[in-house]
Amino acid sequence: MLFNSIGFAIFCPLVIIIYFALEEKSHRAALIWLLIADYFYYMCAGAAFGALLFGVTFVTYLCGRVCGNISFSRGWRHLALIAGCTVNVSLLVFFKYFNLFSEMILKDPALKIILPVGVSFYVFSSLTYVIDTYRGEQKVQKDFIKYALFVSFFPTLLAGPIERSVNLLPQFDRPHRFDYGKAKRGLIKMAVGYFMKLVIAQRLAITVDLIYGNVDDVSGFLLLLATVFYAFQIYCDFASYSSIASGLATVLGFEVIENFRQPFFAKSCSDLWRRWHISLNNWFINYVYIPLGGSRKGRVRKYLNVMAVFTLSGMWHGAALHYVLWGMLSGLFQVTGDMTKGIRQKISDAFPVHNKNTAVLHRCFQVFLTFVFFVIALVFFRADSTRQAFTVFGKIFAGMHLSDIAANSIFDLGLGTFNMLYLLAGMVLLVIYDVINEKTGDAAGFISKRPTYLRWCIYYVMILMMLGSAAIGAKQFIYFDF
Amino acid sequence: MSDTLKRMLKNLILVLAPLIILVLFTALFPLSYMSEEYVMWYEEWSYVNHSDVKTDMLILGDSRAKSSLIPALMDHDGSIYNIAIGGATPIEMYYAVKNHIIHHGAPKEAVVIFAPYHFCDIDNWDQTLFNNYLSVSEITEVYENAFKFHNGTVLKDGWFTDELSFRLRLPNKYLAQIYDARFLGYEDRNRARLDMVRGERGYCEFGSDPGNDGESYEVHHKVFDSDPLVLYYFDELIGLLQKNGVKVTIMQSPVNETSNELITSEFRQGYADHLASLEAKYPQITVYKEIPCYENEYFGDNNHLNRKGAERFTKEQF
Repeated sequence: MLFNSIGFAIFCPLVIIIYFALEEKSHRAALIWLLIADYFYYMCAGAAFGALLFGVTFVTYLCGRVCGNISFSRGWRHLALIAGCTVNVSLLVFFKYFNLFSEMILKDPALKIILPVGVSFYVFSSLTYVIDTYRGEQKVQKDFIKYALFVSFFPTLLAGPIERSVNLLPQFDRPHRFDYGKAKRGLIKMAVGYFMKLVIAQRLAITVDLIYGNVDDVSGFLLLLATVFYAFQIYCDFASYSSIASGLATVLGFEVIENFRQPFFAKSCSDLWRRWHISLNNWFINYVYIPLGGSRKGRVRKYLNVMAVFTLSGMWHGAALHYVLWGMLSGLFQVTGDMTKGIRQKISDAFPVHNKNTAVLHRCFQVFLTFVFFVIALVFFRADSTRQAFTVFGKIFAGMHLSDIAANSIFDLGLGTFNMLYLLAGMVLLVIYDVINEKTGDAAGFISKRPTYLRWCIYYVMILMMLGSAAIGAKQFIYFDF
Repeated sequence: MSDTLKRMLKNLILVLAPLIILVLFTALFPLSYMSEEYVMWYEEWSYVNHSDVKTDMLILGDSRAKSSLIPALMDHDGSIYNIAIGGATPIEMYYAVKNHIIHHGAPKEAVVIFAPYHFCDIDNWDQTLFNNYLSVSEITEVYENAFKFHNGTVLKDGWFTDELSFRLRLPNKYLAQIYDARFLGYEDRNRARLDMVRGERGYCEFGSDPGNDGESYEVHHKVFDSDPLVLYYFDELIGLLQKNGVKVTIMQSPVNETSNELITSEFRQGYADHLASLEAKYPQITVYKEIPCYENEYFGDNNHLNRKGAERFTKEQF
């Protein structure tokens, strides 16, 4: 059941209304209702997936109880930690890599399994619980219902944000009464998410798919354009899911981590990764980078740790070399950025004029350069294979001619004039929203405090643009594939 | 009612207002934006349910029936009506006849023509939904039967939400068509078409080429593999006609020379067996078993007779 489906439009209000009605009577009943809704939602993707979700929940619940219980010896707690991590990671590796294994080792491409949607997300979430209870950062949750709710919380279940147990789990302890202010803020966030998905991401997908589906026949200029479009598509697609999830959680009275913070305003690669898929990057920092030594053991070790994190991140995204290369290249850009930081600072300091205008120019240059590096790595992410990625690079860097730019109209890229203008208008509005978010830190709050007439003007522009995008048809969120 | 609830309801109505307006437009002004094909569905539906014209003979079937028999050439008193629909299967025709009997009473005679491949495929189900041809109770019955026969076409993924979207005229299903018409752009064209089809008492051309040598749909079926749900509704249709004392004739519309050469013998044999079983099951009905072949010049496209072909076929049969 996609967030952008009719089914969800029925399911979501029903869950919310009954949830708050039950909260008035009994918190326990409301939690049980939410858990039923979570499993129903998940099992819409496949009934058998429910068993997997329950299995992961049960195993990590037991491991957490041992890990966090000091009456057990250190050895037992250590064993439970290893067991919890091994079971979860093995499960993930099995589902992610089985098809590759059957193709490469068993030589039987027909032997395939379906990747259960969301498995990468809830496995990572439940791992935070096991590890944090072992570390003593998280109290043991004895109530299985609450723990199961943490793992299967439906707004974040399928594509994150990957919540740490320390953040989400305690929120199930207290009852959540309906709060109009929170609901309004949550609904604005959801509306922004839907806007990004329906107005921008789904339109960009048409052009990007068209061009990347014909890599051999299109010019380098079009491939460059498609890759830039893809950067915006994946941002709008993934950030939209996160925004809807976060908004939905807010309506229900919960607070979940923000997954994106205007990533294309980043001034450096490391800044970008602090703004992009924040929950996954935090996860890797907390549970991989820091345990490996982080930056505490010298620069070489730090760079190796960064590369390890990004390589793992690539592997997490999929069982294909091009994802690993995407991760490694992203890591390499970050390491290079860190290594050249001093030199760049010296160049900047040596610049003859320092005033407000040059500072803005400098910032714009940094943002542009960061975006360029992001787009370069993204070729590996979007390509269907490593070979295709190199074909794309070949065409962009060696096969691009100025005449290509004149030869191709952006209105001929699968969308037509109307939809392309619609898309551009949507992107302009998104930039304005992101600028407000960058300045204020809470664009939804900013909008909700505007005068009524202005607020409703904004709402109506969004509603009409979303409604007008219904003709495009609902497309799955990209991160469901991961 | 608390202030919060009042405020929420007010905001909800304000938020939903554009959607409601769009849905109302979609539901109330279909002729202003729908395709020409819809006009035929609408004409048939309005004739069956609302017209007061008395009919002695009905022509039933799919687009081949619609484009093959011209009522005006068959009678002089306006008592024959072609209620076939392009893309229809026995499912739609069963309910058309049922409604016709409710509103007009039973006709004396019925001529049934379905393309043979329409017993194998429900290839136009989306059109049935898109045109909102069946009522809620009728479509519920179809879904029940589709469950019984495990029909994957009617019960494709997301059938329920699809049905809901079509039934509620939601923009995810209709907005593309509305854009295509620029909201009101097709009104005049569709009204003219509607008048024309009414004037022809349901007859309608599907292709207007002066000749066509393309392959008909049957060519793409190696064997005659009938769909149990379609057969069930065909049985229901014949049963309904029989129960109401209607004289039934099952005819075959012609195929062009190209298709005649390419349709496999296995397919022909399968179809012949199907017709033979019908004959055995309903001895009172007349079944024309041979699929006639006309020269390519009589075809308006690869499946349908042009006007010249329809005139020839009508005169030969009546």
